[in-house]
Amino acid sequence: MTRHLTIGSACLAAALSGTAPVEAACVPVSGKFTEHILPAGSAPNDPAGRVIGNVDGTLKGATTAFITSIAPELNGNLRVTTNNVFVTDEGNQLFTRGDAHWEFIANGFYQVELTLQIVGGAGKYAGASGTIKTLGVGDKVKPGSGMFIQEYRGRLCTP
Amino acid sequence: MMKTLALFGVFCLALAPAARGQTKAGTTCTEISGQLNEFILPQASAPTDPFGRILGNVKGSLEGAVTAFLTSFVPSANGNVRVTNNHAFATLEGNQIFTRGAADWVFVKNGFYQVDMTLNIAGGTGRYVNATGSIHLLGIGNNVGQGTGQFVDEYRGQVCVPQ
Repeated sequence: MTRHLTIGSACLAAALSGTAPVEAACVPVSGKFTEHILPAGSAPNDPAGRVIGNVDGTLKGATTAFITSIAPELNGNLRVTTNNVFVTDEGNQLFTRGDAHWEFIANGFYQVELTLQIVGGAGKYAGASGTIKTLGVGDKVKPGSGMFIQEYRGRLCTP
Repeated sequence: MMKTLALFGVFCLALAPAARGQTKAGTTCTEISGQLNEFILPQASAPTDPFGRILGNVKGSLEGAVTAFLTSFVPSANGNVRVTNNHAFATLEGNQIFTRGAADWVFVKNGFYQVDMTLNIAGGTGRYVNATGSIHLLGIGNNVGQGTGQFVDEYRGQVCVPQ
């Protein structure tokens, strides 16, 4: 009995001292964004390209992203990894790493499926985690021009 | 004679077209103004831009998004900094404006600056194809450090597009 009480006290003490895992609060996010591929002169240090975009919905504000790798597939599809940042109108930031599949439709046109892993943020998104999936199209895509129109939906968790 | 010319000049100035739709040697110029709120991105979000990159939200005539990177950064002994930069604006309507800029950051205290910046428009896309003109910004740098901080600026200027 004494031993059980001792173990119980130890658990309570651990919980009260904050060593127990902290529950994350998760919220759904959704909306749309439009990204424009910047010309080389506006992103000369990003050899695989950079976009700037406007975001609607939960993350309403601005976004920029650059490609970290691009791997062509035999059928014209592309496997792309990205680094995306969102800045909301309220001034909060969200940092993500993306993995996308661009399915070839016609020259310069792709159906895009992208998964963004949230790797932190600033302001109300400090320490954020979660995943955002996007589905959209790439329109007249080529180095330095073209755009992506996407819908996003996901779950954003903060400590 | 000089007085007559001066009066004539003032008279002509008074008759100048309204701000919107001014014409200048084959171009149509429009006054623009508003505010922008720029956030310095952490190094991991702009690893290839040696002096850093910002992402911001724009209100007013160019409502939408902006991103920029520094092309030079020259600190002075008194704490002031002279920078040059490269901005890209994407409006909500989907038009882009590209600029090359220079700014003086006047030291207020550590991490805080008064910012006076001039952006020369160097083209664009959509309705801003081949745009010219300049934009003047006044604002503050707030908690500015490597990979952190923000700039809050008001802008005013003129965008000219070929007729």
